[in-house]
Amino acid sequence: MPWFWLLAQAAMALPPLGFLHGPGGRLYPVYGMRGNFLLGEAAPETVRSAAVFAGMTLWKMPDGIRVSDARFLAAPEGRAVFAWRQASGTLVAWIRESRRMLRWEGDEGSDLTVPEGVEDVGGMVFTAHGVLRMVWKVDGQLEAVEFSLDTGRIVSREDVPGEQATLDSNGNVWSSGGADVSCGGRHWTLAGPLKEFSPLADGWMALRTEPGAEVARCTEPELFQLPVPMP
Amino acid sequence: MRPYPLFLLLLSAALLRGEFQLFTVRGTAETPVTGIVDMGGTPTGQPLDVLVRVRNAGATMATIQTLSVQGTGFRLYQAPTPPISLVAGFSMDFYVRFVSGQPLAEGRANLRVNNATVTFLASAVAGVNVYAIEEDGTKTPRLAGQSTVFSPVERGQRSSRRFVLENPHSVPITVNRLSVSGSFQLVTAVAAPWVLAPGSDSTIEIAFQPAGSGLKTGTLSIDDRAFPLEGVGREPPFPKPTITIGPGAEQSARQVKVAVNFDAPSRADGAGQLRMEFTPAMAGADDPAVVFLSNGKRTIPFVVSSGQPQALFSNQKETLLQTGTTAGTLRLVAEMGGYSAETTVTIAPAPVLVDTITVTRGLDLLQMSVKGFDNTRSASEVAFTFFDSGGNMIDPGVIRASVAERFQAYFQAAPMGGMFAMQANFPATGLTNVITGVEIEFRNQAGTLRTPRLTF
Repeated sequence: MPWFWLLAQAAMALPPLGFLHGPGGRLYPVYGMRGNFLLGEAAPETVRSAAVFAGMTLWKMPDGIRVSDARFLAAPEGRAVFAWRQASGTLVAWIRESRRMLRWEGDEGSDLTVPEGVEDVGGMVFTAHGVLRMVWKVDGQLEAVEFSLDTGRIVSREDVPGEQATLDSNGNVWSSGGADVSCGGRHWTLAGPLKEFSPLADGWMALRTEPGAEVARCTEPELFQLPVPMP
Repeated sequence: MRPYPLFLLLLSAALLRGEFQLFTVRGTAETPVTGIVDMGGTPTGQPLDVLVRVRNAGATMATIQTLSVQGTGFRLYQAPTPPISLVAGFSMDFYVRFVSGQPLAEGRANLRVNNATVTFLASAVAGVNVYAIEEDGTKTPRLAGQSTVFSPVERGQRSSRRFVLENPHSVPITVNRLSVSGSFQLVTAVAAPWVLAPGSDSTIEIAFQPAGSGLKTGTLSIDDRAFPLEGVGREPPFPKPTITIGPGAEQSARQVKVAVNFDAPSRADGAGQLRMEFTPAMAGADDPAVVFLSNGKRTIPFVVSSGQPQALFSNQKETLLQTGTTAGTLRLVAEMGGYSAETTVTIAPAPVLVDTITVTRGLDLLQMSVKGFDNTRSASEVAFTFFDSGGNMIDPGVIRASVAERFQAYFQAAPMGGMFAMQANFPATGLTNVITGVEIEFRNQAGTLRTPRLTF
């Protein structure tokens, strides 16, 4: 049997689960765990969007992407949806306002071609096998697709009902219609119509409505409330 | 027209030509006194006043040495005491008052101002005496213009007072008109005109029933006399609040419902607040996650509507509070309308609770990220036990590490209550793919808790 040593690093830090847009469009980091959630201080107004992956944080700035390891990747203006594959160091970003899909292997960036008719990408995540799983809207219809970066081909494709859809960090599809939200056969009714999905780490999904924000996981029925962000 | 003695007229004229001028004043209008001043009539017992003004019409200062009135029922009222010096052009005012307890067809008095004399005439007709009955049964005389105060009463409720109308004379008195106005109502049925026999009296009851709160006024009118009435309407008192907390508040990492109810439906609209105080079990260790979730604060306002037995938080009957991840005491205080209620919940120290375990497998390294919370902030030891796919414990068995210093340093610096994320790296001398399960155990001052086996 292998012999193991515990490298006494026990590095201690509580990273955010992710980020949430609050009043005035400001981004707020979300911290916490089941039954206990906190919001941190708002990010600077220049931060368009942000995401947390396995200890790495990405911030979309007006002119590019700032990575927590001090790298800066040039990218057009606009909010971004990210996917990160730690094994290969592959980063993919969908820039909403310019409708461009970009890919970086290390610091090398390139455009990815998306099919004609793709209006928006609601969420992206790499599967365990390195396939890019996405939820996008094509010609008004929401779809969940799996896309191979290696072959450039769509591996699978299925319709998603609802008005908005995204993926959580485990690749589960979330969809909404009005105040009703669904994931993996679970359904929740929110305090008001859903304004925005915000995927967080550990499978959590922040659900922003007009009155405030709630948090849920596909694997459990309970809905938790997030503290209202301070304006 | 009455005949006036000539000398009176001459004296009056001398007064006018002298350094002082005499006027009667009504409102802002001055009327020079040219002879007799007829004050008119008044009911018995009711004072009749005439405002008199004396002006120094000369070019230099002049002094009034004598100021008096003589005549049955007449007197000076609010008059200065001589000597009174008046600067040229300046004036002074006083009242001549007449009151008679008996009917009097023609009352007569002489007003003297230095050497000048003016005659005042007045009459008194038989009128009712009005008394307000006090709580101890005594009677307080009331004159027209004197306000009678009613006891403060809750709006919509009623307080009342009795009044006695007395005829002390030897002739009957007819009351032609009796009415009550404003926030007051006549309880006693009275049909005017109404005759009071000589020596008799009659009691009436007047109720004060304000529709709203604040100072309210009205008038008791008896013929031409007006007797002001006043009272204060009060808002009804608020009921006493009680606090109801949902299950789970005695545990960390819970979002629990809180409601504020009342011992009776509220009889008014009102507003209050629910306040939360958190005292951590360990010194200097507040927890920012202990808040009301709808506003992220430790105080939250509520309202109650008239007729309702329950407070509303932004139109909801309940609000959520988060218990945080720190052991301690939660004290909730509801305050409204001078009443308060409080309740206390103790969040007991508990063993470390692991929320998520993430395993990243490398060729020769197993990386483990553990998130959880320690509400005592006293974690001292962590132990890892690994298993193969057959469920067999992998050598060397339980791997223990002392983490007391590391956790202590972390909790002192991190403002996240008892939450933590720990990353542990296990370099391997062999393949890591045979390892498929782990159990993690933490020890703190509250005890030891082992996680269920996580397979990966």
